[in-house]
Amino acid sequence: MRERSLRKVAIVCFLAGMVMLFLVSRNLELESKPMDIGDITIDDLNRAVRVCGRVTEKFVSDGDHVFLGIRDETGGIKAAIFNDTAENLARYRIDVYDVLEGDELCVRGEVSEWEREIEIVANWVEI
Amino acid sequence: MFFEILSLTLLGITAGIFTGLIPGIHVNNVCVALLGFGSVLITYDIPTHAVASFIIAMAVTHTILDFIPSIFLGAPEGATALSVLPGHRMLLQGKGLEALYLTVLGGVWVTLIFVMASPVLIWALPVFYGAIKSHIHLILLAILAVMIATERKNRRWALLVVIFSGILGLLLWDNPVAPLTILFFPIFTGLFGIPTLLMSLGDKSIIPPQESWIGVIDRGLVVSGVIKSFFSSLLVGTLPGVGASQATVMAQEITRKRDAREFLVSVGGINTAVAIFSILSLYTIDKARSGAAVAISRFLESFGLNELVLLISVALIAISISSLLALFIGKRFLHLITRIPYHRISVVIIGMLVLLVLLITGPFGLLVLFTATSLGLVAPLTGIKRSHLMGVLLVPLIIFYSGVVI
Repeated sequence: MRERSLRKVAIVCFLAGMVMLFLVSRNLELESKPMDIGDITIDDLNRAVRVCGRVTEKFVSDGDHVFLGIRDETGGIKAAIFNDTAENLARYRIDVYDVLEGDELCVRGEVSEWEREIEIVANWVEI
Repeated sequence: MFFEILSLTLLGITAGIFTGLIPGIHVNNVCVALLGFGSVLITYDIPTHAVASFIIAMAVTHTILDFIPSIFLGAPEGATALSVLPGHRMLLQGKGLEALYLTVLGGVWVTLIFVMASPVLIWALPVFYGAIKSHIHLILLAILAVMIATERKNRRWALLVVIFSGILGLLLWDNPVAPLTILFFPIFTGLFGIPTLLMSLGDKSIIPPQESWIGVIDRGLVVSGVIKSFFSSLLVGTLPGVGASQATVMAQEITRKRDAREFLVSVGGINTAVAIFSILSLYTIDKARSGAAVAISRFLESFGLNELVLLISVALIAISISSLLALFIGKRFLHLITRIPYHRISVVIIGMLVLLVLLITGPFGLLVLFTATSLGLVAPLTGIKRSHLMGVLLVPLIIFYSGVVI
């Protein structure tokens, strides 16, 4: 196998990688677009979603779990940020305990059901 | 998102060039440091997928460029340790560039094979992992036994080296002074790097003029080396604690062929395959099997098919650029090292390695280096294979996975 064959293989790898990267980054962009809160229903149970809105209420439990009410133009939903998630976010200097009512933020997580109400169990928060 | 990911990929490749060219730096150590760097990037709104792309680009580039200090300076880290002797031998024959080219060939082809085989591997890996995870100690014991049994010259010395290197590994495994991952640097530098340099000092070796062209490499040799590295890497990608070093030993022992050039293709392939297989392990069995995978799993809140395809595409881009850069940099390196007397280079490299060990691991690391070097000299002085020194990892792993408590 000659060196110029390696160059050809490298170019093929590069082009294949660039095409795949372009296509997957479009997918990721679509995934990262926030969903309208009003469009989330019980049919979306266990689905990964991203929503953005304003914090309308905040409650911190004895176990340091944070519960936020988030509202956008289409509706409102509760987001649960458990203490281990809050601890993980703190490593990236995202302090959910400092969030105040009225703050704008985005939450990524899985749609869940608690006491007959749908909510988001958050694994990431963007403040 | 595309331009952010691409920018961070190119930045990762640049970082990988530097970490790969610095002797003795293991990509796992760099990935641990990246956890802090990556969290800073995220506070500047850099998407987490772009940070993950940086990590994998750096890891893949590192595995290719890593062979330059290993072959040309005799200064390896763990994954490239066993490449030192055949690569160095070729350097002293004036074929240093060809030795580097063989490792690059292995890296590029195993990446391509991995990408093409990934749909099958996504199904097969969980099945394979389930079948072997409770037998790893038996597999490693079998490998050790084959290594000793196939030693033609001095089996007693081989057994002694395995035992003493195993004792060294056990003593350092859970020591209270420094983490084992940090101590890998003085361990492998002492077992493989410095003995090679010391032996060549004694030979008054002169690096002969190096061929600046690469001849035609036999296709069969490349195919054989890549296949061995691919299957050896299966164990690395699925099993905890089994790194590129052990996979290299398996590749060397399983087929018993002694072609140094095929071996270099194999070890080059394994080094890169470890980085890439660990992405697949993260997706299929949700286990991080390399420092890069650990760092990626911390940044990406979920790891689905999109993330898998993203990191594979980044790996393809990184391998293509780094393979060409490795040959470009290697050719420039050749001009440098042939102008300086080799024994002077060896002395400087030994001094630099000792200093690096002291700076990174402190006085305890120096003690480890001295001990490992003493043991590492036994293999070339008695004429046995250096791979027996991998007992430093294999023995502790056998004991750990057998459940024996010491």
